[in-house]
Amino acid sequence: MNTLLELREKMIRFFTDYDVYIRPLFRFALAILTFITLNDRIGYLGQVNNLLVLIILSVICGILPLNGIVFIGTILIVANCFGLSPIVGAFAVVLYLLMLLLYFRFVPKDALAIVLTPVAVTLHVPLTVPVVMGLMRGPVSAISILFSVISWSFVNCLPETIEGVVNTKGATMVDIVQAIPGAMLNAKTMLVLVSFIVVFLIVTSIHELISSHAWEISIIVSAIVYLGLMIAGGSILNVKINLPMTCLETVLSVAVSFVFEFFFYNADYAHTEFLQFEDDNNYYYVRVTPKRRPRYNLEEESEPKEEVEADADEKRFVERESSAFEKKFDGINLQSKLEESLKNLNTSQTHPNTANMNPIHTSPVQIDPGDVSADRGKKPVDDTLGETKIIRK
Amino acid sequence: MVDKKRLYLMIGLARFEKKHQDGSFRISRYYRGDYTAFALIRNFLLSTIAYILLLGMLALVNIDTVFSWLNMQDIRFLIAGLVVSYVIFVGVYSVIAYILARIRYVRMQSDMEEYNRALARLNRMYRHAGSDNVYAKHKQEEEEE
Repeated sequence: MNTLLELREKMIRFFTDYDVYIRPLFRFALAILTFITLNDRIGYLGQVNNLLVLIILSVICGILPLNGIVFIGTILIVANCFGLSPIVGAFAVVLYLLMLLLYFRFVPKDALAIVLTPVAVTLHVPLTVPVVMGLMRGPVSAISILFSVISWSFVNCLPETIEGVVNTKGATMVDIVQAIPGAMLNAKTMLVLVSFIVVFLIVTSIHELISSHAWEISIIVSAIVYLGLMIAGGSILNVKINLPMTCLETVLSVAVSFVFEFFFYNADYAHTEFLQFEDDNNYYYVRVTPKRRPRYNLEEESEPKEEVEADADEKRFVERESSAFEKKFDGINLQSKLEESLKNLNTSQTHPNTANMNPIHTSPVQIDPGDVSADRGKKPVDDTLGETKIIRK
Repeated sequence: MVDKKRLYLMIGLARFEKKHQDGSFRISRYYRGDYTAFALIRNFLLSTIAYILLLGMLALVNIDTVFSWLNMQDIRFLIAGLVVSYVIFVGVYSVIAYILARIRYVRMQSDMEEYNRALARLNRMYRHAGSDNVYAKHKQEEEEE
């Protein structure tokens, strides 16, 4: 565990030092992952379905803020929909515009969930989205989960259902438009939607509790509830659920959530302290949980280091030859010479007659007009100026 | 010589300005009433667009039902229903926009109070350093005389 903590500290230090480069790189990596996943799923437009174009778009996302990924990702989805059919493209424009106008104009920070949910589902870690959102955001973000599931459902239904409808001979505009909501809001989507929102609400409510291991408990409980809901809901709504795959996805999602927790919340519950004190108005019951830090064994590391350093000094002392300038002072005890000169200096300064004759040397404060820091905080006093005038006489 | 306290204060102020340049600084240009009114007008326009889009999408998806409604002799009920739903829709969004605008304005006020206090502190530091310099100049002139 200590090794992991040390690694974490090193990574945090590395991120802090190279923050300027890592942030754009992170945005670039996230963008290219998102775009490749989306294009792999719905790559209907040939011009956009090109790795070079995706890299250029990702580089642009690396420069832009994080919501740039949402903007360009949404444009990519819409462009691919136009590649499938202009009607589907128009439907996509209206759908994402409605999402923006109805909700994301109030909470723009949550908009990343729209493009990340399809990616998380494709990477077989679907539970990560509600769990991470629940850990980081408030209960209002349940609406973001709703829209993100709708976005995933829309992207998912294109190759599964809508492509077939579009390619059917004699399919009219109305047929295509009427097929989309039915394909989007099917029983499986409703099941996933309900499961995600329940999981999200469980995580938001548990992780804020003042109890030990609240984050871990919330992740594990949410995984159990998700599995239970998927199995029970699948049998009630007659939705075919691949149980081993769902279990594997849940375990993977839990693992990713724990990694996330390790980096963003790392409380050391073993060293929790309970404090109690009072003032005139209140009694205070305080619980202090320290953050987990790596323990370095300083004694074992420092002792041999000192020996090595001492040896090195000794060698340098022995090996070094005195220079020509130093040879001039051979046989002269410089320390005793210095002490003598200091004694002479002291006696000349403390002599009373000398002090009267030359007041410049005995003045306690020498006012240097250029040294502002010495005079800081003092007002110009006439007495001091008077003293200076006497000195000049 | 660099005054460390002043330097840290200026770094803090610069960070604050960078963080809030699109939020609190933009809002602080408006009076509270003007900002709320502006937010409500913008919300009215955006909500109307959203309502039209939503209505169009629902109409297209349920086109058969729409045609059957249009074939009804008395379409006054249909229009009344549309108007009532529009008023409710825009009303709900206006309430949300109004509450959010007020919350943002109150937050901006507390942010700007903090910022102005820091600015006043910086100003005091500069005046203090300035008075020291004036004193130093005065001293130099005296000595030269």
